[in-house]
Amino acid sequence: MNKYKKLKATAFYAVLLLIGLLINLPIINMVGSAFKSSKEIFTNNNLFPHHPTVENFKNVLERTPFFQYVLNSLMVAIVVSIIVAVVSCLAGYAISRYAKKIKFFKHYSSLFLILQMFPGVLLMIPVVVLLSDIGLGDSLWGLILVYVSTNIPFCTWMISGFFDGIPSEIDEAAKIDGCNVFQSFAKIVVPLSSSGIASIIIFTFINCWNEYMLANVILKSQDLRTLPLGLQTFIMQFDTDWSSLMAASTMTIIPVLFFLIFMQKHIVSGLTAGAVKG
Amino acid sequence: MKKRTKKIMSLLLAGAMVVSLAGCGKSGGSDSSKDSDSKGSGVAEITFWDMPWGPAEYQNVAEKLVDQFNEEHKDTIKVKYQSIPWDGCFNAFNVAIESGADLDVSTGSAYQPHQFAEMDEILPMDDVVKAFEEEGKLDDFVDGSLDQFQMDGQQVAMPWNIDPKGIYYNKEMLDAAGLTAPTTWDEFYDCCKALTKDGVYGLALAGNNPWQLEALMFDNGGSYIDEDKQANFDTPQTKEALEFLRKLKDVCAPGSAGYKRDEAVKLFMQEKAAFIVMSADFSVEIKNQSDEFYDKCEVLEPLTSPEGIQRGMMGMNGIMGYKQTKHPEEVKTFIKWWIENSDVLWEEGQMGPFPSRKSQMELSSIADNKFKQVFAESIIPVGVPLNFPHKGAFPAVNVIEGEELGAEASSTVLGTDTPIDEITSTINDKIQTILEANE
Repeated sequence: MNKYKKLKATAFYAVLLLIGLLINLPIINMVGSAFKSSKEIFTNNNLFPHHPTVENFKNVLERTPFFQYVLNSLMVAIVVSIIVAVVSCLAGYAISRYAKKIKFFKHYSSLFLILQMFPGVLLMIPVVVLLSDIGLGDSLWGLILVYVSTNIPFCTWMISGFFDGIPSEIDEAAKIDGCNVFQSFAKIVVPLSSSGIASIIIFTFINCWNEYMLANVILKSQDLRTLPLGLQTFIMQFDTDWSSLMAASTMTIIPVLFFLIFMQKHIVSGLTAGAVKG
Repeated sequence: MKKRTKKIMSLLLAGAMVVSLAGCGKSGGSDSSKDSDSKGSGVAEITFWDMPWGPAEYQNVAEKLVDQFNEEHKDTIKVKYQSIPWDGCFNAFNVAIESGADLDVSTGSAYQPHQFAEMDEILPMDDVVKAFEEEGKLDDFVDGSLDQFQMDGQQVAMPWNIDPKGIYYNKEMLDAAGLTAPTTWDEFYDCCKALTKDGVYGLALAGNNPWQLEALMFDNGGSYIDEDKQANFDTPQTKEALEFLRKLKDVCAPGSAGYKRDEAVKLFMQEKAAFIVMSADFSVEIKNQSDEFYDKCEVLEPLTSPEGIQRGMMGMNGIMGYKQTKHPEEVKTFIKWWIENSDVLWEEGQMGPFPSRKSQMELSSIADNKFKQVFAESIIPVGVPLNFPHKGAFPAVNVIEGEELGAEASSTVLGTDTPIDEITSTINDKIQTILEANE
């Protein structure tokens, strides 16, 4: 019986591994291509190079201010994630605990979902006008302002759902113990929602890291470019420098990978926090 | 917190949000940095949006060239250089124009100046043309290139670069099969047929790319429109070209109907196909592949079609100024200077397309490149733009190109058995609809 269970588990993990490999095939191909020379990029159909080279990485770092692009993307993504997390948690708590008690605001959180249906492309002209008027055109702070405003609604809706899952009796118990509203929120509810907060931080970080359309119309100076814009350096009108593009793309996913690995444990710890009684 | 204080705080926050909405109004393009140049310094600041016409080096070389201009004009004009990615560029330009953002001069793709001229956003370049004429330099522009940017009696842009298309081929593969370079359509087909065997194909064809179809159509005397801006796709010459394209299916890899550009390039680079229709900048790709592969390849002179015509196909891109600029004369000065001093963009910046001036064809980056020599001597002199035979482009051509009607026709010819008459009729109707809608 034990042998059968082991066999079953092995087969199950083998299938999962295969599915994982298939899903990650484009990324594996990208990383493999990053180590192919310009001669091999078109002539070698295999995932991995016959003669690996780091020449492409050197080319990217020497020919473009790639580290500047990374720093710009990191700054924007981290600042936006922090601001969105703080504001969304506060707003989400208010919606979860108080809005539903007020007749007029009962379905307020649904409005956030309706806002998501608004096509982002229609925002571009007024956003550029507004940023230009307040002197934030072609600046990272202008981009941060726009990303914060576009990410808050969905994150607020998401985190308010998490807060709904925490019984209000916990707040009442905290009140009895002498906590005011903010202390109850900060010391009791937030720690219990770490998985939800980690989720909105991940969601916001990835959104900011990958976003291209708004960054393209707001940022124009080369030294302010975020990574999605920086990758366009290798794409000409009809031609693409695939070797350099694959190397730059490989370097682009590294920070996000580390970030996700770091945040993943918070999601897991949040999920298992209440698993064991007593 | 007392209830009254809470209410006051809520009202204050709501008021702050309402006041912030007052920021949402179209600005007159005001920008503190631009206003400062009118405050006594006497230096006009203009913003130049340039497209990436070459690899990463191009932008660095272009920035240095702008620095040179600024040094030579330090008391009068200062140019800020910004490179605009191709992906989403129309969006970026439209937003900048509509919002009045910093945009005084730009390079751009073929029909961009015509599109913005229709919106009355383009600064006419007639003064620049006159300046070149007075200096005796007007004839230096490639024939037809100035006319291409004439619209409603105005020069909407100056010619910047030219992007011809040609048939590259692997001469070593032909030599190994005892074949010589074809000169007619029939010879071309026979050559491809002889080479198609054992997993090797005569032609690397990207069905999703209209270049093959357009090259054949124009070569045979066909066109999208006629001199009177009417649809002209449903003609015997175009049908003959499409029939020939369908015949070429026999000498292409299976699935070519759905191939994009890089899939065809892969076949050619792997020496699994002998011929490929590509743009001028493909020569840089071949050179980067390896010196060995570069030595194997050549470019065909334009084939003689069944109609007895030799004609190439090419795009022409322009450099243009915008009416929203506060410094129109400085913009014209910069555009003239940029055209006259752009040699370094080809020599060091590895600019892909060809220059629009005949004298620049002598540049070593062109004269020493065997592919570019054939383009310069044989293809560009007989090259025509998409709006041929109508003299001068106009906005509807941009729509025809943007709707990818050529790609639709090409993939339908190659991927289905739809009768050619039906394909030309359908596409012709679509072209006519576009022309009427954009009158």
